[in-house]
Amino acid sequence: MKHKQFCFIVIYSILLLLAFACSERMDSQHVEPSPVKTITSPKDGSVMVFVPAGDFLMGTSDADIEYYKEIFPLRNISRFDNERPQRTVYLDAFYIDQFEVTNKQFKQFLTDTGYKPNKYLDYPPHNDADLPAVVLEWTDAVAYANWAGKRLPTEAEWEKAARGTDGRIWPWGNEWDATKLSGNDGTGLIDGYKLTAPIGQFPQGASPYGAHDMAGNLWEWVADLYDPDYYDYAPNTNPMGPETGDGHVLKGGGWAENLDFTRCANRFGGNPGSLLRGFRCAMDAPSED
Amino acid sequence: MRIVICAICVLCTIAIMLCTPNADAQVDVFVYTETTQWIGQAAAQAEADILIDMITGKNGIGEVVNEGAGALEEWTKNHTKKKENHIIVLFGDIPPVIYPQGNAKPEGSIAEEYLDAGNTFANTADYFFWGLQNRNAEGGLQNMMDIPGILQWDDDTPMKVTPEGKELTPTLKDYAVDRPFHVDQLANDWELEIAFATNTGEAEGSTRCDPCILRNTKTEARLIQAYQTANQDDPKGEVLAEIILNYYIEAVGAQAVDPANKLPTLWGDIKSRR
Repeated sequence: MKHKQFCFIVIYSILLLLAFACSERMDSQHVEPSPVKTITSPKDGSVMVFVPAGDFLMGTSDADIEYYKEIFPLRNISRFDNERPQRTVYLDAFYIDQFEVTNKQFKQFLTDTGYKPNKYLDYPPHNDADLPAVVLEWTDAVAYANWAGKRLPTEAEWEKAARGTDGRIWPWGNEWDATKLSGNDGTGLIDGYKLTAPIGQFPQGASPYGAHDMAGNLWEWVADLYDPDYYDYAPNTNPMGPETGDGHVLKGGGWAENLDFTRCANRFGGNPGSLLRGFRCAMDAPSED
Repeated sequence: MRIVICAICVLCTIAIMLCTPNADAQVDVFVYTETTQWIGQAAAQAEADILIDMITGKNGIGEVVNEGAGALEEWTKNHTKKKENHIIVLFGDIPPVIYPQGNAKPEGSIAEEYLDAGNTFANTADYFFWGLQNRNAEGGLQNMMDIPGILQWDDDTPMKVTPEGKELTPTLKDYAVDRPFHVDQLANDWELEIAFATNTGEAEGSTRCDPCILRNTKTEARLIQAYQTANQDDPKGEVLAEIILNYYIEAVGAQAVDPANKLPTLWGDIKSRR
């Protein structure tokens, strides 16, 4: 009997090890997210998903670089320098908006406060109520977050909310899939939308924590200033961004982006040019969470 | 009899003058680097210096100016009157002194009158006529071309060098462009004159191009776009110079075809397709 038990444990252990080995890069096989824990923000009515405290892989590894050489053959590999080195980062628990802030929400903020945004695209085709608000200046995004009783996520929070703990390339896994995001060749033939998509149209591309549109639709402002070398000296616990920088960090890529820019680890800073950008908010999780 | 011969000679001379391309109408070039987008000012100036160095003093090239917005306004007005084919080179931004802030005066701006007079804008780095901090957004290009709805999105689009590109722009290699020209959205009197790189590697049947030249068949206005990429280290100045020297000046008649040169073989082929 003891011998049988021993065999069973050995076989079970081998199977378990095999399962771990195979799961290291499951590529397109989407790992079903665990049940999403949410709250509703009282001020702007947005649903926020819970991201528990703990470690996650942030940035881009040497192995990722080798993979990028295959899938982005036309890209100068130095383009990924600002995402390196990859490191394990610990974050406290937090909540983040499940969707990007919409025009409906942003206009409510403007009505309630009389705030005059510096650069907000309040004209067709960008200003439909359910489309994400194109807010081109970071200060306007911060003003909204303050009104809503929230804040912009840090870059680390944004990246963990997008890719979970396992260092995956896109929110859904490690293989590009144009059907899982608002991001296409501009024809609208792939995702059905000529420009940005109304929020939440790609649930199959949701992150492990249930956040939608983390890849594509709009580039998203985060709280951190941008320093391309920040990962060389950033702390590994609750990093808040550098003291000084060239503008603020943008994450997630936009609707016009195909591959490279929509990776969770991608970071853009400095002069954002014609990139269309929006944002979502975050807040600390109460200690009982 | 002598009078008749003289008259015939004069008439022949006039006929030859009329039939000869506008060989002495040189192309003036204004390189604007005071404000830039998707390329730092220092990097833009470095690329501009390469361009200026390569084209200055070459056959068919007139004055080459590299000054700020104040000088650009005057230069643009002066070159609108001339009704020739001059070039303003932009590094991702068109300043409000020639195109009003926020696309507020889409018709009749200094820039639009300059273009409609048969002149040329060349642009590198960011979206054509977008403007710093979204000054004109999509409306800039749409109004300058009078094509509602035309866009320049599609980041990361692979560009393959065309046979014309291999011949005329030897520095150009396959690369990924962020704001390609959408050939499939061309309308009215605009056509793709020549593509140096496209999404298919051929001009025929392509839907995206960069670098390439768009030409208005009615006004002879041209748009040259080259390397509209986000902070990407491309040989912008060198390729722009190759486009201007190896193609543009001959296309607008600022330099006659040199029969001893290799160019006419391909050039004749290109012309025959126009």
